[in-house]
Amino acid sequence: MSTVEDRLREALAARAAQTSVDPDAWNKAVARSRRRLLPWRWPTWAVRLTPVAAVVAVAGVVISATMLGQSVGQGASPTGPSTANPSTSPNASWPGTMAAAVRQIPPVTPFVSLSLRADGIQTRNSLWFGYVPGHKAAGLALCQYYSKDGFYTGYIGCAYGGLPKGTLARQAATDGTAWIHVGVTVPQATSVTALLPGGKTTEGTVRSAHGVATKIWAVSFKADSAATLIFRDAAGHQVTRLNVPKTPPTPSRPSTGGIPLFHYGNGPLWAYRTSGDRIVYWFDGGSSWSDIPLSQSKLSWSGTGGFKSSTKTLPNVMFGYAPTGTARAGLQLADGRRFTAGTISAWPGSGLVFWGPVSLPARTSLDFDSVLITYDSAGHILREVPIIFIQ
Amino acid sequence: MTDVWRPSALETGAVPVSALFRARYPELVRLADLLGADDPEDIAQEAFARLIRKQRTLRDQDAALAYVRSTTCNLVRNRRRHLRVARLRTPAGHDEVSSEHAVMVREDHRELLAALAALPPRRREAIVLRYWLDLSEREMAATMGVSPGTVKSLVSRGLDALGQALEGKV
Repeated sequence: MSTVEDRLREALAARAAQTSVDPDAWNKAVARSRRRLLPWRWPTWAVRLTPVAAVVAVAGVVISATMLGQSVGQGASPTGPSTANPSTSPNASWPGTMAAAVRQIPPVTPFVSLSLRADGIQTRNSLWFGYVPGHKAAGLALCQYYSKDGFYTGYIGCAYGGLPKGTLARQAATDGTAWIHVGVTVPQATSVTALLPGGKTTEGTVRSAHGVATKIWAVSFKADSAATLIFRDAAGHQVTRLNVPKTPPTPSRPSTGGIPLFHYGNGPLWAYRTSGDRIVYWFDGGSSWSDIPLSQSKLSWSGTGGFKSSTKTLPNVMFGYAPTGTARAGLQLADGRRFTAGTISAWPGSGLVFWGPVSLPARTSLDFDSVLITYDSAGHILREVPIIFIQ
Repeated sequence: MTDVWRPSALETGAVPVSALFRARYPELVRLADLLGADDPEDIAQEAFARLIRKQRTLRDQDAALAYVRSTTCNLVRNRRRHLRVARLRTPAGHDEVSSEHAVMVREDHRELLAALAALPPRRREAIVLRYWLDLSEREMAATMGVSPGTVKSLVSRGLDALGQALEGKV
């Protein structure tokens, strides 16, 4: 071996030995992995996290759930035995995220697979019905996993609470400009057409779901577009229709009326009440808001999602609002650990207080079983609500 | 009505990225440093972030390691290209090796590292992968995205250039 080679090994090893590493590097890498799947469009029911100035977004694996408005008599329910059969069993070829979701919401019906073009890209969707553990009374959930060839964009969501006929059960986002909307409809339906503004139409897919008295439909169109979905039977007659509202636009930051809640990043995290009767949070690096107006719910949680501010990556903190009378609030994780924070006064007469911030330990994630807990000033629990039920 | 982040789901893919991270992150930081990155940690974190997004498409741990190594090399190359352009727009440049480092490195090491820093990027990569990571020619080729023959040539020319640079110092 030449002298140069010997000296090279020695010099490189000596230089390398001087390098230290950041103990929080893993969390930062995970946060980065989420941010880069821009542009990501959120379904209307998701808590929104949007960039303000820097390249900021959150992506990755999401397990979401939304409670539908009202259950009507003939909602989806298994008509056959709910015992597992071969097509409801885990499949070794599934991505880990889907396998994990199926473990949490075991299917009570066979999977329905369908392909759908969204944003010019062929997506693969697997849908199944199951019960959310601990919330069987809420009714069947319709769950969806979608993926795109060549990309890790696993997305899982479930909608439950009754699945009334013809109702838009849920919407799933692609990481482009179109969404894949899915739901259930009447058994007679064999096709679905989305009527879009300007007279355009786009065809979707309707599939039977063995074991339930409804059918599953899917259709893709732009996220910022309203649509009317027309369901037809085999003879071409309209059997039902469904209006899909336009996605609310990103709120503008009001110029006045903000309440500084706590310090986050390079400045306060502000809360504003918008004209749409919603609470929007703004901070250096992003914003977060709820699509559910205050008139519908006065209990909420949000997370910053580990944003990158103008100078650094910020930790993920939880916060939200609750009815007045709440003195403390926070989250209980699936393993029983509780993380709570005090409250902050909101606007006079609003009937609200804000709670937070709650910082979860590194490498701690929220789960389906996490619960939002509120307490009164005496420390008594006021409410315990699984976070999948609230926004 | 909420979204629930599940970083733990990262553990369920074909490639256990967190385990790879624990085992290899320092190495990737050092690799980026030896290749001349101005912020080695930033490079290594970005490489792992890309691996997390890519993990479903990688067949095994070896493929994942090759991917992050390759990504690190590419990111450093791109970063240095960007910095070179940035330096052209500023009156003063900066040394490849900081003064803080310089006083900590033995004099003979410093000469050699300075000569290494002066090599074209591909030759520098080849030298570092060969003499620090001890990769085989096949592994180097996979990491650098070139043929084994090109790897052999890059190492040979890199060594020649280093030898000449050191002779010139004597």
